[in-house]
Amino acid sequence: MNLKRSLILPAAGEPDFGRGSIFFVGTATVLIRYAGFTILTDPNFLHAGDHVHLGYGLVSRRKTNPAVEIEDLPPLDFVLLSHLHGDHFDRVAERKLNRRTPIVSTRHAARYLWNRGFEKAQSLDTWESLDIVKGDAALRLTAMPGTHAPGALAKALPPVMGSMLEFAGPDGEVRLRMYISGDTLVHDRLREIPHRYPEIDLALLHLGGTRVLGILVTMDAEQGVEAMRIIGPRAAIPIHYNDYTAFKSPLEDFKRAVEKAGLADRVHYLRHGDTYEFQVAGAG
Amino acid sequence: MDFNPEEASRYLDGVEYPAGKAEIASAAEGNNAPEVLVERIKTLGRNEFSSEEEVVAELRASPRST
Repeated sequence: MNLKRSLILPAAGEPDFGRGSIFFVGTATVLIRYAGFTILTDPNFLHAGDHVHLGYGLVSRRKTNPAVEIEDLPPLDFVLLSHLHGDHFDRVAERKLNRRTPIVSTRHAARYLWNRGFEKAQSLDTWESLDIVKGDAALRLTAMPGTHAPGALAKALPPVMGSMLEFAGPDGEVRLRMYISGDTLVHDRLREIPHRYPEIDLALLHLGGTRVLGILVTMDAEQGVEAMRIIGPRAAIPIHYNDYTAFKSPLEDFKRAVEKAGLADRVHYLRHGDTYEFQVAGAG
Repeated sequence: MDFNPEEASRYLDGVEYPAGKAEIASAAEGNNAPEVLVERIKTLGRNEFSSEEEVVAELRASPRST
């Protein structure tokens, strides 16, 4: 059976297609607000000093605090989760997120979430889409390929997905296309993304150069720049860059690599608690 | 109701209908379905289903187990 995958949210006022914002909470946690949608990504609300498990019994210590507490978030339309890792979905999120809030993630994560009472959890396989409708605004959410680790280590880490968010108005025309990398390395299947999506307005890149057992499992400075070259977004924001002891590639390295690559005009830097506000031309 | 039938249908592959609920639950288990879904199928009010659509409809209509 092939049910059309869709999610209908209650309408709430006139959607504003002209402007939106990205609020950076920390790690890969951002609050995306556009076209009437409020979307939370990879909820990580642990505090400095707390530990998370990254597989193989390895733990990493958080060095930062979230910019807001989970209780202080505005009402969420849904949560977008790239994968089930303690620095992306933690015990605070598991305890405090409203179980009626839909969470979209991998099959691996959705199964876990469902068993813990998040019965609105939905999974997407790579390239599969979910159409989310809220009043006059529509969002097509599609899972992008991601690879957390090379070779054998990949089996020890959870499956991960990137995301493409295409926001459209009532006419169906896409107003904003946003890519979120998820915890991925640069890999061959990333190259298919620009073939399918030649125009990407904004990319959120999970960097940090995370190392597990000495092996790189998230993009470092050089890979971040390479990902920008492959994906070709008009603008990019690095996230997931300084929150845990396992994050080994400082943001300064990425800044230098970006400048060297001549991409400085495309990258916006957010500290925890910063908001990136954007305008969408030709939409009103 | 919170239940998400689209997600449930992922775990119902490989069932030959008509099928009993024990058979469907066991297929879901084999497809690595969440335990709560397997339990839910086992406690459905009907014993026999002639299609996946019927299973999903019954799941949708049945009260939450928790």
